[in-house]
Amino acid sequence: MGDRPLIACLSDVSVGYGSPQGLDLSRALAGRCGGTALVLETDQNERPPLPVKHPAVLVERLSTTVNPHAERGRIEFCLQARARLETLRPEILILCNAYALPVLLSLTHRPQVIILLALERMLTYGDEDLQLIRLVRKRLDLLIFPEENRALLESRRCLLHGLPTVVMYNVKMETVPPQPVSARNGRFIYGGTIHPALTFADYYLSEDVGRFPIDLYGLIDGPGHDALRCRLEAGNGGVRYRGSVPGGGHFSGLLSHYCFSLVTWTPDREDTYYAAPNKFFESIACGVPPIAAPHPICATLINRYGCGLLLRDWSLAAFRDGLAEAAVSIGTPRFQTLVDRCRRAFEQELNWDAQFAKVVRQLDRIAPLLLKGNPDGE
Amino acid sequence: MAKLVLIDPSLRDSGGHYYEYAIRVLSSADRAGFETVLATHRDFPSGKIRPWRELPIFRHSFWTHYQAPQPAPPRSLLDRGIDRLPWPLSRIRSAPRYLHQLVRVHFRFSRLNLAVMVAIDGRPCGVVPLSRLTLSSARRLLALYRWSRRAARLAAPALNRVRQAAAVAAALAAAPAALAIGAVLAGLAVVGLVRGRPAVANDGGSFGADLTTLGRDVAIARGDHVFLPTSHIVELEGIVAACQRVPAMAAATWHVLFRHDLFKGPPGTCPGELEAHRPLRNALRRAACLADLRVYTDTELLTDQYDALGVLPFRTFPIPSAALPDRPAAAGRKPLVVAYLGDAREEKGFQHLPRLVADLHDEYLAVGRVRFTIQSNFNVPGGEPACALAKTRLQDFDPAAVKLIDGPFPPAAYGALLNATDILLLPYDPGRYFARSSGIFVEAMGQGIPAVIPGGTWMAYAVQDSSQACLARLIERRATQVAAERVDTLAGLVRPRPPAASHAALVLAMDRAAPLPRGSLVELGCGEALAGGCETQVTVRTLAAAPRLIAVFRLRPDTAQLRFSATLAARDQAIVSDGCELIFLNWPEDPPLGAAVAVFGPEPGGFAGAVREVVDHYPAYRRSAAELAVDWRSVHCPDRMVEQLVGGVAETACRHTPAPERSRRLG
Repeated sequence: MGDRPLIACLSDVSVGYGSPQGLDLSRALAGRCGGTALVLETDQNERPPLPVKHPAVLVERLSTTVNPHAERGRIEFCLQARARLETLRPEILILCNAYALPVLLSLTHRPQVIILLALERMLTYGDEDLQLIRLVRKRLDLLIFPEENRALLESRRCLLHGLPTVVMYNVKMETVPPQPVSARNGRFIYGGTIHPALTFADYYLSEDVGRFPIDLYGLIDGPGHDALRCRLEAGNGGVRYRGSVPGGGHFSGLLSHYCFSLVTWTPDREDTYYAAPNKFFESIACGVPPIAAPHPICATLINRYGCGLLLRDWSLAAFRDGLAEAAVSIGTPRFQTLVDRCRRAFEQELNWDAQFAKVVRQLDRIAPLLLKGNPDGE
Repeated sequence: MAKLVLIDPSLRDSGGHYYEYAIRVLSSADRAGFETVLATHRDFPSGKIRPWRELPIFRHSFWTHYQAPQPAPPRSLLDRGIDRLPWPLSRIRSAPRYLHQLVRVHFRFSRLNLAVMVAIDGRPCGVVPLSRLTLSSARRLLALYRWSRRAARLAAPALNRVRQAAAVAAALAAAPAALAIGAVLAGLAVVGLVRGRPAVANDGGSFGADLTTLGRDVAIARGDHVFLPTSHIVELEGIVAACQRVPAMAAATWHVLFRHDLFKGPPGTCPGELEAHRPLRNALRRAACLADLRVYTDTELLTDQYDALGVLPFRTFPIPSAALPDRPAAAGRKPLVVAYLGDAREEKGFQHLPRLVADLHDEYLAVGRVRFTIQSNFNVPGGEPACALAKTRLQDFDPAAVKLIDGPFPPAAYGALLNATDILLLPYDPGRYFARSSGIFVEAMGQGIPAVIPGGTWMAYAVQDSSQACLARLIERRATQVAAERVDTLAGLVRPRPPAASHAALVLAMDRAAPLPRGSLVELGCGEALAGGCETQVTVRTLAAAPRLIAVFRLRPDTAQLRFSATLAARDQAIVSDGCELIFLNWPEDPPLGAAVAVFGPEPGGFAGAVREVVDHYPAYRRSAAELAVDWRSVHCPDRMVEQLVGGVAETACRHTPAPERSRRLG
């Protein structure tokens, strides 16, 4: 890696398919300090390695004998990662979720900054991880959460309060410009996992919702996913399943042509109730007003900027009513207003630069000389 | 010369609200001709020349011996002695558990554990090199574990007998060592005994002893007045103890002020709630039997709660506010200064500030209409979790627009900060401030500073009459009424919005035959159904204390239908009223909907909405706050408080009902 500072990121997933936050943060920090980022990713069978087209970012996959999210797989990954880190000696270490925290137990190298990017529940791998967190807590320099309520809940539960903390929304680093209203296709879009229990896949098969022109993109998952796939592929009135779109900018390019984007997660777990959905922020960035279930962060931002429609609850009736309200507004000045407000929200707050600036401010306090390499970023 | 002795063991330094309170009372008493004495915590830095005598006597403050409803579990002398040892010796007891966790976590993620897993499931590990030594150790470990489980099952009965015999033999063999260890433990117990009970001990023994010392030192006797401005059971027990030891002290007049609420609502809200306060009732009885005891609170709602104890009649004291300099003429300049002053605490709503700032950023902060001054020092090291996180988030904003300051501040600096404030934020937790007073609110109202406060608090109650009078005058302008109707009940009431209506008003006449207890919380709601079927809800909470309650709602231009409601916050009670009037109004000039304060409800965005209300109508709110201040200062005056204290004046209402001629100028 030469003399340039090294940012190492331990990713609990194979990158390029879902949450881009680890990759984006690594890349941004590398650009900021004029260094190189190395992402050590897990080996998920269903996600072949994807090339990352950026000169300052390398991805290295660490294989495991078993599924990396099994206990044995986690241990294997952490042991390999620790050995690599002892060799690489990075200045900044980013840990994506609590998955790779065991690396800190006996890592003799001391990076200048260790960042925990807590996108999921801290105790995803069991309550025994609480002991692990307490032991490694003192080695963490910065916590990043995607949502303020989760930051508070996790801080209290895992005794992490007192550590520098940033709430950084799940905005994308690269966005596409919004399409003019006249170029929109008059349809609704849903992008993401299509799961009957997690994301209300059954709603799209109902007669009420079939009246609306909706395109579904994403992987179909969950119990009975084969039968669900058959039913979706057969279509339901205006609802059409379009398959899965690879990561990168492809989905954003598609998204920007639509009128509204649907964002819903089942609120039966803490991390889904307090969801900070990537698609929510991506929609706003593309100038596509989201129709969002009342997850707290969605409610806060829609109320603040008026940049979307908030469903009254998670019921089918509320879903249908939200679609009806949105459909009525297409082609009217109200729709243009919503699009304009999305743009304003994006420019004011919901963009990568504004969110990353929070991290930079904290890092300047923790390690003032670390980010001086390239203060203007990439 | 008669003495007035003010006792406040929580005073450790010459700063903060409690100290300011004390010096206001003592200054007034000094002017009234009393010999004044201030008794404080031992750490109080005395030595400065002041008109009163300072005696730093008390070992424990109110906060370290305040008795919770459930007493803390008893701790042994040995435990207390161990706690007194320096770290790390004080962690002796937790060391084995800590070591166990350390070993367990390290083992869980170690190569040895991985090797054990390989040994169990037979699948070799192809990616992490496991040495032969590790693998063979793992196999031996696994075999040993399995063998030991089998052996233990088979040999359990014999092992028990062997274990018993071994225990006896070991005890005999280890007797000298055991004696030595026992001596050490006994020594620790003695340390715990000799060095006294820790500060969190739950009794008033030390307070009584210190009070006795004070009484002897100052020679408290008949004709003297002793005032305890923050009290509970411990203080009452201390008075009893001191008066028993020094009978002359019982002849003085004891004035005891209670500031903390007993219930989270008006009395009678929760069944069985009084039983939890039996110790307080008993303490009041004992103290009243022995001494000339006068009891007070500082709000009417608290007086209602303490009167419900049925021991002594309580009186409501005014809260002596500071004589601050008049606000400078530049107050009300642009940008308006919106301030949060006081510790950063969850009960004071500090954690809501980042969202407020973000909600207002676009239309108010970014365009220079307001800027924020936020005091952000914590009351505990590191801050409460929500406040620590909130402070981090506030640091993300432009410091020119959101200025974070760290207190506490000396009196002159605090007064300057308050006077530089145009709008004061007090987003207190209504559950904790239902009946409790707020010193800073009193000062702000005395200075004519508009405030933003939550509904369901004493603050809202104290100024409710002014706001209701303002709304009543607005509604009575018949020319602006679009439609009006009387309804018997609001349950399920839905009405279409008249096209010309910009506001809707509910006037709820309370049933005179079955009045609600003072302090009852009523939620008056207006739900807006929009064209596509989605709804927003706006709710106003108003304390029921008057024959009628008024709420006015601004309507969105695209509202199609409205649903109204009136419910009691304690939802097992129905509202019995004399009916309700629903009035639709056309107010294109959008007048202010309150006077001196804006009250927000629990709905999302309510806090930001109330701040917008004051900012958008600032001249009117400032004017009404200035008019209220005249009345307010005359009530919350230290001299008046001392007069009542020593004169035994009957209860004086501390709520502010505007005089008719003045009220015509409000709004």
